[in-house]
Amino acid sequence: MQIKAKLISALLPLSIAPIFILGFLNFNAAQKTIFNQITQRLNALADIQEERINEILDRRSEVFEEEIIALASGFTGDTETGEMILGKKNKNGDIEYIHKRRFESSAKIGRVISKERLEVPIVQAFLKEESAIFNSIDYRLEPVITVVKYIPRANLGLEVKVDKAEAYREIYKLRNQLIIASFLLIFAIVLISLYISKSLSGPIKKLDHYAKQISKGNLKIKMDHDMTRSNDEVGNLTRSFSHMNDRILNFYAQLEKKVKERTNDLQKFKLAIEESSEPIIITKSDGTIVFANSAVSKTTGYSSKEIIGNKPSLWGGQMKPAFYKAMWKKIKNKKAYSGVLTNRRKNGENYIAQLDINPVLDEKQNISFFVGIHRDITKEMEIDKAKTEFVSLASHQLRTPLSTINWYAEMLIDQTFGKMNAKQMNYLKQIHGGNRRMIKLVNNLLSVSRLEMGTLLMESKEIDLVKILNQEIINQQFKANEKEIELKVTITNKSIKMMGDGSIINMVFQNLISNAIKYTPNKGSVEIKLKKLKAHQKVEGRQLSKEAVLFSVKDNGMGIPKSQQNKIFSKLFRASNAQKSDTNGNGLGLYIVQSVIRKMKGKLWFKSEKNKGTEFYAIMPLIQIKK
Amino acid sequence: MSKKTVLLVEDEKPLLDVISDKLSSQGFDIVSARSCAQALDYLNELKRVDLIWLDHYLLGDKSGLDLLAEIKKHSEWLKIPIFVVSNTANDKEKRSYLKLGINNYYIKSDHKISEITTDIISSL
Repeated sequence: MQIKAKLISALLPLSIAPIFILGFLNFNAAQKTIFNQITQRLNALADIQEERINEILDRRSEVFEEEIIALASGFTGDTETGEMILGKKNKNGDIEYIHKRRFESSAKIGRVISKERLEVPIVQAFLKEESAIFNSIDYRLEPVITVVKYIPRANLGLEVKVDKAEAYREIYKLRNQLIIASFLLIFAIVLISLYISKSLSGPIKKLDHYAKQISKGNLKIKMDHDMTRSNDEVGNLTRSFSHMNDRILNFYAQLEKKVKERTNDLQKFKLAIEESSEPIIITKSDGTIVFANSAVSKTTGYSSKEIIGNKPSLWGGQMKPAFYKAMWKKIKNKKAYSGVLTNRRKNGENYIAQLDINPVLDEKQNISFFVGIHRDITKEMEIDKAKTEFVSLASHQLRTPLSTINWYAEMLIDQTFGKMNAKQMNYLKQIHGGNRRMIKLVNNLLSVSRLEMGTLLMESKEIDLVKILNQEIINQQFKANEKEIELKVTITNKSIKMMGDGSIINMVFQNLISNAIKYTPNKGSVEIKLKKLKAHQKVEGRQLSKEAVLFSVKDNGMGIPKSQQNKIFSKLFRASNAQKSDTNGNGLGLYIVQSVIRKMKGKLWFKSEKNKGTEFYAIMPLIQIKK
Repeated sequence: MSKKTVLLVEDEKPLLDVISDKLSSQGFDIVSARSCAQALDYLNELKRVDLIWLDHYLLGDKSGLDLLAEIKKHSEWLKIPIFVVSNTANDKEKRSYLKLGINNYYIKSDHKISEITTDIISSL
């Protein structure tokens, strides 16, 4: 039932209330009417009794007094409680009853009422000449309606009365019924109100209880089925409430799941950082360490207890103050720092570290903390140094005897100090040629190791690729002439200037041209092309981002077998047909070319057909000359 | 025209000999040294050195780079052309030489001796 209906049902009985009020008002009017009727009747009776007394007086009866007493005593007025009382004045002026009253059994005649007691009706009878009406309490203490009258001829006070209870009997009955009905109505209203208040406040109280439970976090409450099924507003509210509770429950479940996932992720991250072999620290913006993984302890020798709350100066301070000043300046400016420094372990041993610091900013772009990674690179530095030293040493140690042979042979061939016969000259040239191959191999091996170690410091000088290529062509012309190979050179630009390392770029020219000459049969031809490419030009389906040069060398040699085309850039690899036809190769040339092109972020590819030839293409980005 | 004097600084005896022969045949007077100290002695003693042929690795503790640094401290020797002819293909060292100021840097094994001498002659 809707609340409105409930309220209406509660108000309905209340609407009867005015009827009751009207009833009570009517009752009063009726009482008045009845009172008037009764007093009229009592007056009439009094008049009749006066006449009778006067009659008795007229007859001059000797038993006048007895007759009057009999008249009074026998009076009923056709009622149950009707009574007639007669009184006379004694010599004191007080009033004296002259007969026994109707409901008085033992009272003696001649009872006297003081003239002062004006409230007694019979006293009034003597004061007034006319009749008077009273609502009073009689000798039996019953409420009565009384009419008094003075009878002058007999000098008597007459009182005629009837009990109110009898006079008003009918309307009292009605009144009592009304009272009972009123009580019943009030009782009903109270009951209905209780029911409604319970049916209204009960569910609301329950809802209040649910809400309190929810606010306490107890979401697993079971709602009253009657409430959720009820189709009134409270029912709707309960359903909404239940729905909301379900949603919250669902939301919490999802949140919990997410939190669990995130926590797992965080755990993973924490574990990953904790277990990382790189020493990682997190510091506040003032450098106070708030986190350090186990690798930090391993590297520095300090326990995490000693580290947390301390500053990295615990193991630092080995550099000049200016170094740290510059570092702080950079990171305080919210920039990442990267540098190499010397630190000191707890045991006093120094170590070299690659330090990287990244500031982590909050949403207001203020530094909230720094993440620092300092990798112990002492061993790497040592190895790197050893490698570099080895390369220098090897290059010197190998090249010195080779140079000796080279220059002595050269002096003999030049015949500076006397002539040789043809046979001797031929032998000498074989020695010289072998030596040159050896030098080339050593140079290539050195290039490879330097490229691999990354110690090949690329010079950045202004160079002219056209000049370098022309020089290399001159160098190779001798070999080409020996095989009667024609070198067809197409260089589209007069000069192509860029910043770079000429000796390294020449490795590309040298290796590709010498390979082409090597694998082209006698009296064949080799085409060499150098072309400047504009930015955004399309080459081999790829758009260039910058200006570049395209270098290509085409031979009409034996070609590279399809099955081996994917291996030709591998170190020390030589195609099977190349191995058979020529033993003068070390399998390093193309590997070097590819390494150089990769370092220059260029592109290298080829097209090859067996027994027709091969064309190699190399794109090298042009590094602009700064003006 | 009087003969030009070349201070040849090279630790490897066979190479020292062949370079001397080559330069002599080209009409130079040769003063040869195998260590940094020896070379400095000659520079101090000789009134005139027209050219220095310098190797990197030398006998003793000091290298050609040390010698060059020492030479550059003396204003009277600043004008002497210096050619470094070494087998050390270490870019760092090469750069150090070029920074201090030399006329050219050759890797022995990569050049004919006649190429180097031709270059030297044309520079004088």
